[in-house]
Amino acid sequence: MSSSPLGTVELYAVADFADNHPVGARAWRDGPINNALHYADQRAQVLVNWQEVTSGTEGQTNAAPPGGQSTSSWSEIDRAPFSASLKTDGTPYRLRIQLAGYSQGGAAVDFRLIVSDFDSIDDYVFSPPTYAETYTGITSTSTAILTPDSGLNYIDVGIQAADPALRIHSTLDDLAGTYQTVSVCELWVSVWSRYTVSTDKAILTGLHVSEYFAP
Amino acid sequence: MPASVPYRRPGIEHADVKVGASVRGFTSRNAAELAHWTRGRGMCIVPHSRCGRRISSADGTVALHYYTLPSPFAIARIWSIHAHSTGSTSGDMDVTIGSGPTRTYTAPTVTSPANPPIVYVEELAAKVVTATDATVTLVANTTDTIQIDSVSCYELPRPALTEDATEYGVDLESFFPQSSIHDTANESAHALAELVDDLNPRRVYINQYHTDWSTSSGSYTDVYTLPLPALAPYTGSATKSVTWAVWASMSGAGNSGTFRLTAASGATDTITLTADASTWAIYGTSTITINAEDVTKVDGLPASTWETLQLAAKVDSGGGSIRVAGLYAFDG
Repeated sequence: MSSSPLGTVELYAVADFADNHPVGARAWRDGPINNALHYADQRAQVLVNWQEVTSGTEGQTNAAPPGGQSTSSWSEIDRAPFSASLKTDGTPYRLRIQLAGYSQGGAAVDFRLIVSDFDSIDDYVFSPPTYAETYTGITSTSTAILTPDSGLNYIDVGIQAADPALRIHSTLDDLAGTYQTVSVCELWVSVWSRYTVSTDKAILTGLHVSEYFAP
Repeated sequence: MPASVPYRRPGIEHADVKVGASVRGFTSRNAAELAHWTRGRGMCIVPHSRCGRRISSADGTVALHYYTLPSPFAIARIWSIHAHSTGSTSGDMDVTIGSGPTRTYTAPTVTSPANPPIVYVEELAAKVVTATDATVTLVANTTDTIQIDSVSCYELPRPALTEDATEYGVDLESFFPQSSIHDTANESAHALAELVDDLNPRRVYINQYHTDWSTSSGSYTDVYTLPLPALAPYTGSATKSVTWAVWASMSGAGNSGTFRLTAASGATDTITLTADASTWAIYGTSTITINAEDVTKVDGLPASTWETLQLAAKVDSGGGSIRVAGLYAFDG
């Protein structure tokens, strides 16, 4: 979605804003102001994007629960950090989600995707926030794009997850410069699975998470 | 006053900018901060992806190849690598990225991603303005096998942009209330118009390096079980031409083959490996047209359909096999 007045980019001549060029409010709004808003919307990033290869010579490129897990209990199978783009109200940009997987033997398996700060992941999987995605009762034995229980292909992460995710990093202000600090909202995407029959594990074969601006 | 890069996206009351009313300095300052935020926050240059490669001390030095065009303004990156030892004991592994120091990490025996990842802060020796292979170099110090489960990398934000003719940071003091509008380098209205005009939001769609995949078939065979989503930013056109490349090789000298990238929206493009392609390397780059976001939709999907990319490969002549271990797609 777009926060800019025009919903797209409006080309303008930079020279029109130089000395001795009277500028009307409309030119200012539809040019630099509009474009600053639209480009900020469109700086959204792709955060997670992988698919299993159809065959490989070494380890697996999919994600499966580790051995020795109890059936019917959640086990984590993939985890990824990212630097979130924060809106004016401090909440992250909307996250578009696509998850692919299957059940090894056809008995129903569940997947759950949560987004939180690193320390809250374990808590959130058992008491998921409203924006968590759960994929219940997957029985397909071949890789497929899965539909979450919500039916939505995006989530809006709440401020309660974004606030604790603040991380302060030390970094140079420029090449060969002096050290300063920068703040990053480092959130984690975490995918969990559970299964009811020990030989029919939930296999994650692909995951995509990308930002999208929504007011 | 430094051209600082805010933590959160600043807001602009664009409705205040209207005919018959003066534009407040406050509004223009917020617009400058917003443009700094857009430019200075950094990109996700390696979207998290599964790898699956395995190394041991017998392999010597092993390189993982992540090829993309990063932000030309970034000077530091955060790499996260999940790895585990497939043996009965944990194993040490040396990690070197770019021109940074070599650091030793321990890969635990437990496969759970709950293990804290290896976090490597890469400080760049120079800003990167061309597509580059950001190589992660690994040396296992154990005879046990270490599996590299996943890799991701994002750029650290800049504290502030430089006020020059490259980064176009704007002196925020020049927008203080009652300040006159003036035309001085990196100050006031003209500088803001310059900065916004130079913004170019870009994305890295795919940067996945994985286990070797190969085929000896003379017909196209898909590399991935499902295609990978890739949706371009909307900047006035419903489509965008994006750059792609592969890390690949032919199994022997004199053989040739072709990679084909197919977008769900219909475009296709090919990269051919000719007779001299028997060594692993980046092949391409080439371009393919993909759909851009529909910003009127709640999820941005045009016609409620994901845009995706699927890679396929075939052997053209000479026999042997065509091999790939990395697919890269990004805004060039």
